[in-house]
Amino acid sequence: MLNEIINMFKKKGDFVSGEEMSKKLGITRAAIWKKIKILRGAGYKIQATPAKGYKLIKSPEFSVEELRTLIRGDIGREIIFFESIGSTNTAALELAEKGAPHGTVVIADRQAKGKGRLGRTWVSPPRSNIYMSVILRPEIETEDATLLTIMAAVSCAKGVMKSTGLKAEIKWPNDLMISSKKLGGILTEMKSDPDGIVFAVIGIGINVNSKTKKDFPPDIRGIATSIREELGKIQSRTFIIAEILKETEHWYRVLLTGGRKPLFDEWKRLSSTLGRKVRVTAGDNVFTGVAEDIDRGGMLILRLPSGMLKKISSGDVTMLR
Amino acid sequence: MELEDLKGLIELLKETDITELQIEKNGSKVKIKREKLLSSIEMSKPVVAQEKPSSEISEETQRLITVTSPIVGTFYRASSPEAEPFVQAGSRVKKGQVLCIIEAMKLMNEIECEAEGVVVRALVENGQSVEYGEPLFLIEPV
Repeated sequence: MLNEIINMFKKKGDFVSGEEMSKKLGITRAAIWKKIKILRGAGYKIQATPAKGYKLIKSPEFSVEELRTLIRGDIGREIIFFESIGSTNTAALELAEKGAPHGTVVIADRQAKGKGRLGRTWVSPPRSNIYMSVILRPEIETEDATLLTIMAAVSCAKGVMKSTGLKAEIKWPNDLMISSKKLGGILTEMKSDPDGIVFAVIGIGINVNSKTKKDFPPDIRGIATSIREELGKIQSRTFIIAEILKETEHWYRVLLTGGRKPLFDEWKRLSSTLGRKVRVTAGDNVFTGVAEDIDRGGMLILRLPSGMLKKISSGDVTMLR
Repeated sequence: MELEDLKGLIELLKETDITELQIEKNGSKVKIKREKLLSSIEMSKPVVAQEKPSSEISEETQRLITVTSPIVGTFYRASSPEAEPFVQAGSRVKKGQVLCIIEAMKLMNEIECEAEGVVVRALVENGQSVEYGEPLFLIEPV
């Protein structure tokens, strides 16, 4: 109901009378007034003028109601929002286990235990960044599951570019980078059985309005950035998330219908890794070489100093000069 | 030729059907030879043979479930380097219980047990890379 009211404001771009609203939504004018109060409480600036009605002056930095008005496809049709949660991925895994449909999105304002790779933590200060998990039920072979992480990287980079104008690059496999600093990360968790993929949860963390010096621990301050720091002003998470979900809708369809070529071409265009000298730390092993290409699953092909090729399935990549 | 190169060579060889390879470079010569990969049933034999009379072997090995990797990736026995392994040899496991994680490109794939039973043996070391279809665990169903 709240998103329908926001939609009416946006369509009209001017005053909407109380009568018009109550007719369209099938509730009394007193009930409309209550909804307006809720929206104001959520940070919306709404002007009320007798005889004219209501007009939306300004939206808050983030609003899940507004986000819902911006979704057209399957991805994000169902959005579950938490003010605070342990980890959106853990919540999404539980929801998926209980049968949440394909495209369900979990968003939180803050995470107490944001998840990184191998038990690491994703720094998640409150009410500033994107902490989001998308549930997918992909009908692809289990051995092709890594294509989902390529798809997610492309969707996030394109979504950030379209909503902010910033040139986001991808560091293999799916870190979001701006001028060699980390803007975001993607951690995918998957459940499969012998018949195939049951579901995959794509966890997305993007630094939007954090001040890295204030919000981040000293060890990652120098290597992290946020959209706010790049642009010099606060950005709306609502619109960035909406663009990312729109891109996810698009690239997921490309993956299912067009196959891996168009997806890989886009990943390579956005990649900052290929052609560069890199160091890869994979457990106790460290490899140095030139990132030559990715294979058909998206694995990194490294050319070692000897000229030999080494295929990397997982590890931390550091760019070398 | 450096150790690094040799490792890379062995990795590459694993992905093919080649069993023997000889390379000469800058005067040094390397020959790598490997046995054909044993099938999961063959691998399970010695474990059972230690405890059971030979007449029961074929019957017993067929009862064992081989859990294989659904993707190419890195094998982890625990959720983080500090955590306890999910299971060990002798662990009693339920259907749906997590046995290990295979990671590929920051995609963490939890491998679940498909039947109730006991872990007879873990076939892969922590942090080792595994191929598609590679046997990971032998489970004796109960």
